[in-house]
Amino acid sequence: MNVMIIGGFLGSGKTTLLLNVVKKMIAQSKKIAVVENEIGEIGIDGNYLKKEGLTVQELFGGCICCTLTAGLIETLQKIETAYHPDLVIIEATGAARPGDIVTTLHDDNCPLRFESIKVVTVVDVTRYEMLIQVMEPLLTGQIQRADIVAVNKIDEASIKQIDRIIECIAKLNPSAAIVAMSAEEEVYTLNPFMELL
Amino acid sequence: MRSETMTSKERLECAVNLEKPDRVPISPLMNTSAAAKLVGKKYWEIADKGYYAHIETEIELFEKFGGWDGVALPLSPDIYRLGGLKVTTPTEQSPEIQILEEEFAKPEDYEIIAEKGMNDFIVNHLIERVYGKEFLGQLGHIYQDASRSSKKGKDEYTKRGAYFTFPTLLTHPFFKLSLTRSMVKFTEDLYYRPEMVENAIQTMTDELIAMGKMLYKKDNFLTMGLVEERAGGFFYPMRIFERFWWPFTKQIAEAFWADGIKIWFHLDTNWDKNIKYFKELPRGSAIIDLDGTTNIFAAKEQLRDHLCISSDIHPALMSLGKPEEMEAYCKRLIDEIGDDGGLILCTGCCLPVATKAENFRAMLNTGKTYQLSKPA
Repeated sequence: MNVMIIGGFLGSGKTTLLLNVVKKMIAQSKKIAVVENEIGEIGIDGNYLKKEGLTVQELFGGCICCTLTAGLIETLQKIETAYHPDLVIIEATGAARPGDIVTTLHDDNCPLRFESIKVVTVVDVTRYEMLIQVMEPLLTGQIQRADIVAVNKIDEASIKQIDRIIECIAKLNPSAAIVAMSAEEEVYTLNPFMELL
Repeated sequence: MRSETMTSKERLECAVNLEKPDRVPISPLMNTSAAAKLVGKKYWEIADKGYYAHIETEIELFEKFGGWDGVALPLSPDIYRLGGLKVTTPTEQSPEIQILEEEFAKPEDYEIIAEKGMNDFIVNHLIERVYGKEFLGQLGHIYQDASRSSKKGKDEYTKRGAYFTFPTLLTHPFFKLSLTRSMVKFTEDLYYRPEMVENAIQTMTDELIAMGKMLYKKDNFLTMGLVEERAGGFFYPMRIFERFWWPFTKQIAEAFWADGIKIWFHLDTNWDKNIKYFKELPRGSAIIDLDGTTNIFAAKEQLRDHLCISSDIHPALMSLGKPEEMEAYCKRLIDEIGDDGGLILCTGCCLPVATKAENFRAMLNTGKTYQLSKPA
């Protein structure tokens, strides 16, 4: 199974990026399944995606510690058995660290085997400097285990601000690819995300 | 093997007082959805059938697995609704209750909360925003059902020898505001309008103290429960914790302690950096309930001979592990955390829906037999 985990704080633009990746994958005739796990209202129109040939599973549960362990694995098992997708995209709750999900999936007791697990963390450039002041542990934790950090909403920020934030992120995770983008305006290229797969 | 010499109440009290009980007290935190699955019921078929359907299901599990020491009343969709929280109705596809966060409370509401309190705000503003006016007409029925069912449930558990760990899990003001404003907006508020947040938390702290004192009855409950899922070092830096959480928590703990009330702190996510603060609380005044993500062994070293720890069986072990792994982990907890008596054997957070029956059984069996099987 191939898995892409899209993480990032609430409101950073995870869902918009996910939809764009999904469209591109469908255009390539790939079979995609999406696992949605958010603490707010579900961000995706599940029916729309289902019409497009996607499998959408909502992963709900009381707390992130419970939901993101057994609940997630059970959901992935169901998806694997029923659909054999080319790719499963997990949109993680904004309150989680995607790296913890990777740890869960690599647990010795996890019955699933993965060909690849990649992490994309979306950062809202307009709120990053405020959030890093008040929620530094979560934001840092989300960035540090990402394969790609997508610096989103660049159309709403100055060049200086974007540069400053990219520099901060590069220090936090020197091995990640950093992509500046505007998911809403589609001012970006999806190539780095597709190359991950 | 030696026999048990204590009642559940004595055993739990012994652990909180940091004395050695006959064996470790066991008090798994329930989740009706998980209980239903383990007794062969479908939670989505009973979720909206009234509060007693929840209690009855959990009692069925208690009986099926031979019982344990500490129990608490369940959370149902209606109980969440009374708190002004929007929740999903459990379905076959999504069988757990899920809180759906939205910005139901606005920035200007901080002033209302600071002046009149959260309970007033919930009844006069929040519930209508979340569920509409018509829901207000159902409140009386829900309260009455909860009250009658709770009394019946308490009697049934007491008949079976169990002891109530707390009357309810009160929500810490910090967590409550985060749920009603939404995590995003509340986090922004900590940056843009910290004084308004502080003022609201202070009023809510006073309100929580009064509520806790009203609900707690000596000899009926071990502690008063207090839940916090978001203030730990997993999410927020220490300066946020030190300003918006710890001072208010100390007020609560000291006010309760003055009346002989201990606190069951249900602390989700990682609290490694925060544990040291709890040493400021009086010895034996609280239980620190961890969910498997905080390093419990490091926590024990900091809190040894000071506060009891309730631990901590991670949902992954409960649902993905093997019985022998469960047995080994419980023995390690009993040996290393409970060596001085300050341990309650508990699930990490609630019993997960994907719990394997054999793992839950292994937890209970190890707790009931391990110490009694050793020479006195």
